[in-house]
Amino acid sequence: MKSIYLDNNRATKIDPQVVKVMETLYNDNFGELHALHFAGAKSRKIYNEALEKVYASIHANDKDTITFTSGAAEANATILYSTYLNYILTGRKNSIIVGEREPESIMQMVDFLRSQGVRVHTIPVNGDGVIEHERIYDYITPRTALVSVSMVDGESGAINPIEQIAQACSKYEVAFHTDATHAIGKIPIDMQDIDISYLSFSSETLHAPAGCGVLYLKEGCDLLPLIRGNRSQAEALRGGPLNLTGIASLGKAVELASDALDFEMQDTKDLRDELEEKLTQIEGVQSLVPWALRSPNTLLLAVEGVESEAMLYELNRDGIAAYSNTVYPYGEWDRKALPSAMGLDKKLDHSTIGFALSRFNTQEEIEKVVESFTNAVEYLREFMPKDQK
Amino acid sequence: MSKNEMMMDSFWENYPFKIQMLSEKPKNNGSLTEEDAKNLEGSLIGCDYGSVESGEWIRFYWVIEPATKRVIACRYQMFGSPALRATADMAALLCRNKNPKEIEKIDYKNLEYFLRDHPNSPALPDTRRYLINFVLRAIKATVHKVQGIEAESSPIVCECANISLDDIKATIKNFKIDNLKELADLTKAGAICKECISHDTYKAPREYYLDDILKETLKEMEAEGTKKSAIPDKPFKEMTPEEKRAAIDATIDEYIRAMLVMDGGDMEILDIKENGVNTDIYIKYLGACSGCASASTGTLFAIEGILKQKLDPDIRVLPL
Repeated sequence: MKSIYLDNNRATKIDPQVVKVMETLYNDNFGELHALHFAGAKSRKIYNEALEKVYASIHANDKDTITFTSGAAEANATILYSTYLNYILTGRKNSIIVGEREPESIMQMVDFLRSQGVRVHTIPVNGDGVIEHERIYDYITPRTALVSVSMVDGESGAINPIEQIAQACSKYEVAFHTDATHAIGKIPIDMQDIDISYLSFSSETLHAPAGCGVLYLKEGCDLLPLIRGNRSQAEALRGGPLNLTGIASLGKAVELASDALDFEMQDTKDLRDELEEKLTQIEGVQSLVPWALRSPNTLLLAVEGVESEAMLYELNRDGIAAYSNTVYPYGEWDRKALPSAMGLDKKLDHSTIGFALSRFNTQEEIEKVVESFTNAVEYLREFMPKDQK
Repeated sequence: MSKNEMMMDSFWENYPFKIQMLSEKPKNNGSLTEEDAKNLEGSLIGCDYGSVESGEWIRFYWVIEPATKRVIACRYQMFGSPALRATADMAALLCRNKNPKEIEKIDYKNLEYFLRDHPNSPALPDTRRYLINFVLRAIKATVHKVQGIEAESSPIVCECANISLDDIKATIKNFKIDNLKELADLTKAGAICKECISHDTYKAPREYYLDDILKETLKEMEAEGTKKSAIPDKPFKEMTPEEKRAAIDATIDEYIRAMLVMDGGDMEILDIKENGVNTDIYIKYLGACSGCASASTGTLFAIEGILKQKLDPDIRVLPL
């Protein structure tokens, strides 16, 4: 049985071209970045090339700073700790504003900061599943230390109104951070257009191996490193030897993803749209976030009368990997379920199924998914009496 | 944290074969109608338990034979995970051909044991054990409906798990739970939004918190425990004959009887006599113990040893 992977918002298949880059690094002797000898020189060349590609992929200014971390989680933690130590503990600022559905790395840090006495405001999502950016004006003051809202929600694919939030932040001169892990390679990111102070993203959703991330700082923004031990500017914001294989593969991956934005992402979007159209024709199946507000590879459905894990189990039996965040105790089950957050029927809370496509998915795979999904819905609804659906 | 805690839990891939089989090919799912009940010459009882909003819902259909009150047909419909489906299927199988009183006796150990592949390996991962308790509560609700007992209204403590105060207290007592992690594993209470765990100044106040319930119930259990072992607080030799008998009974109940019952045996005290400095206890073995070769050697020495250690060194045990 051929397996079909549709869980690309959490981990992705490594692109063969990225594998080639990694093979070169694994099969040769690359020295430490600061070494004077030939092996160090080879490493520096690889590092500089990757850095160049990352700058280009988000259209960052040369005066902005980009540093590599172990992932978006570390980048997010660095930004929040640094804000806390630099601005809140010193009494210069007093509060933080975050979106309601931020990744765990932000939510758990925010919980910690709250326990330390920091005032934390959360902005809810509206009926479309995107952050209600007007609500930011309820909380924002010049004493706000940081606003953090992710660019795209990893579960629903909802594209948050980053431009409007960035505008509000510039108006009050407040630092703005966005986690772009689920946006990079899916939607264009142009740092020339939006006024973002900090940006972070990870390698695992880019068809590169997990374990490498990017932390972007706008010119003029400051940051205290979480891990110290730098020997050069490259390590100034994150000490310790750099993960050269990770960096090289991330560099290749962002390059491929940027190239793919034009054509391949459009193909992925067409496949996703076809999947969406066919699946939402089934009675009682609805797509949670409107088409225009969603990243091109993601489809999150609510299926009446079908429990998420039961559906995942049936799909898995057919070799299809999908996802759901409402399966206790696996995954991010402890956050408020999206249907409830959007104000839909609470009965849908345990009935969400997500599909995140990638450029490696094919037409045949989508047809197979439609067939399996339709059969599974029919089978699982037999377990429910009509009066409960 | 230990190595075991650091290891990733296995999920579907390590479910026992029975759970896989019952969730993939359930045998007892479906509904029963009044017509089915008529054909079987019995009366139909349907009982709903749980809620779709909390992720687990089940409806049992029982056809009860009027003469013997036995469940002659049992089916179920449900909303929930594959593991719940397997558990409900096994429960439906176990309920068949039993009367409500016998069904009420099905407990966690029985149901869990029937779901195991191997006697030594648990049927479900720790975090999924609440499913078995959920099905047992559903069975209890159905039995109550059959018996015409109206469910006592108990306030819901955790909305995410849809579990009431009484059910939480009962679970704490039955499983002798002393921490919230285990409580969450066995009831799912406090596992999802975590708002019901303890008071948080940043959140709206609630009437009940799991933290407080656990502490209160543990105190209650402690009080009940001390009441049960009401051995007078004085040396054995100074006790009156009635007090001596009570002390011996309590010690046997607490330390000895469970050991004998596990092997299918039991014992009873026939008489207690004072014999100079010694206290002679005449006992009779019951069940598998009577006739057992060890009854006059190892078992006897063990019983005598425990009584000597706990009560008085001059106790002698004489089996008749």
